[in-house]
Amino acid sequence: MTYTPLYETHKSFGARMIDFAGWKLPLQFEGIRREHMAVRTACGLFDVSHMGEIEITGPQAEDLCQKLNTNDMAGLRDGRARYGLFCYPDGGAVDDLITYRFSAEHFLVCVNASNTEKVYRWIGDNCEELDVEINDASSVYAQIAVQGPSSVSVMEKALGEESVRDFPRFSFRILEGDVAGIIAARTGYTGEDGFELFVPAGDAVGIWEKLFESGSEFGITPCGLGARDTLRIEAGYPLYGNELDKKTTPVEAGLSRYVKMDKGDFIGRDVLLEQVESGTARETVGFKMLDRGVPRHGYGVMKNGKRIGEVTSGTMSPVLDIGVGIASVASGEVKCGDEIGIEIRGDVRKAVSSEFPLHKDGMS
Amino acid sequence: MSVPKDLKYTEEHEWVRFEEDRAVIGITDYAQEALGEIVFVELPVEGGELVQGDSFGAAESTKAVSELFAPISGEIAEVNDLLVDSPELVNADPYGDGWIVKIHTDELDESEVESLLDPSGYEELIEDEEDA
Repeated sequence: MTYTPLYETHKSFGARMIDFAGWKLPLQFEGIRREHMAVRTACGLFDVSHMGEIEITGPQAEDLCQKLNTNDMAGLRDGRARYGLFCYPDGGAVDDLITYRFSAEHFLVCVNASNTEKVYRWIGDNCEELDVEINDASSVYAQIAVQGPSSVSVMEKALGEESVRDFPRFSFRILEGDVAGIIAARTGYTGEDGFELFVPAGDAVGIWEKLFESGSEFGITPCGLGARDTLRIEAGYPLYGNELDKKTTPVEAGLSRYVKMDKGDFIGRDVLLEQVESGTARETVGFKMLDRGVPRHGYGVMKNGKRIGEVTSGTMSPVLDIGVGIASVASGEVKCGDEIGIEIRGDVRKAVSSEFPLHKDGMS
Repeated sequence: MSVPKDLKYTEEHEWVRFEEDRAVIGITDYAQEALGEIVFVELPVEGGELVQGDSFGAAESTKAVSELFAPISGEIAEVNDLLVDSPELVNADPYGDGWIVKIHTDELDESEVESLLDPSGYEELIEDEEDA
């Protein structure tokens, strides 16, 4: 079991801890719904130190990133971040990740905790002929996310005006002054504005406390993995192991916009190109429950009495107070706004196929 | 963790309170705490039958779903409709306003009642689970 530098802090906050991907992490503090709504209306503070950070440096770092990533890493400017995927030659996902570009010779990729070792090996296995260095920096950094509409105010008060000035979404910077060494990025996994901070592990407790104290007037609330999951489901963001795995390609997972065919070759391109051109057997849709009930991973999706797929993630939406979810279904069976059925404990309940994000108004 | 002395219990964390001609059934304080915030309770219909050991509904929290198992058999006299709109009552008051169903006890099977745990037996059970 691995403990984040904030473990004792969470315990002092009364968090309920769980084991997740080999880490001891907070599931919730005061309650998932309350934490969820704090992020949608004010600000939430998350410890996501379990996320893996791998540095790729050297003269051919950009070439390696281009070779591995479905998205375009050469077209990415320095100081910018981009979501993308690493795929196997058959198109199945190794992981989904955000790549931070410091320069053509220096990239940082942030990967899922459960996949860190696998991705590290994958990068190593595919860099033989290239002049690069790969470093698993996961233990160097704690990661703290500040998410929600008040995030800018919280950051400005806690870390100074410079920490938020001229800070477009998906850009990042290395902070200076008394918060030197922190990499601040305007990214997140909640569907709200916010920041993710890569903090040197030894500074994590001090920064967490600073953010928490400065954020109190803006309604900051410590949040656990429970709220992180319900937030990302409402936003329609994939979770590796649910929407993505080694047998599911980004095209099947509804992530084609992060697969750039015109950037040149990359691992998995042939299969993904074929899927984009000829279609796939299954596709990903969002839905909202019309009947009462909470959809869960693995529940059947029905249409006209026929099983057409299954739920990959589901929850009760704290914003809408109805069940919402993400499903993988046979392609072409479901258009947005179509009524579908979700099989809940043997009963088929009505739902409607919906656009992401799921928590915005409107029934389709 | 509250385990009232006037109730009977099951290994699946339901409780039963015997009233005049009814048995009231709910889930225990330990169960609601373990589940976390309950966001939906799947209720059976009035007039239906509970069969001891069979699933008669489910309590869903933000993170998990837990089936409800009938502690004893009997015809359903009443279901707690308040839980449709306020499932959180199960968290707030598991032995009171958070009750789930009431069944008629005029044809009660005494051997089923004897199979239930008394409070000290249930306390031992949850201590064992917490140690596991």
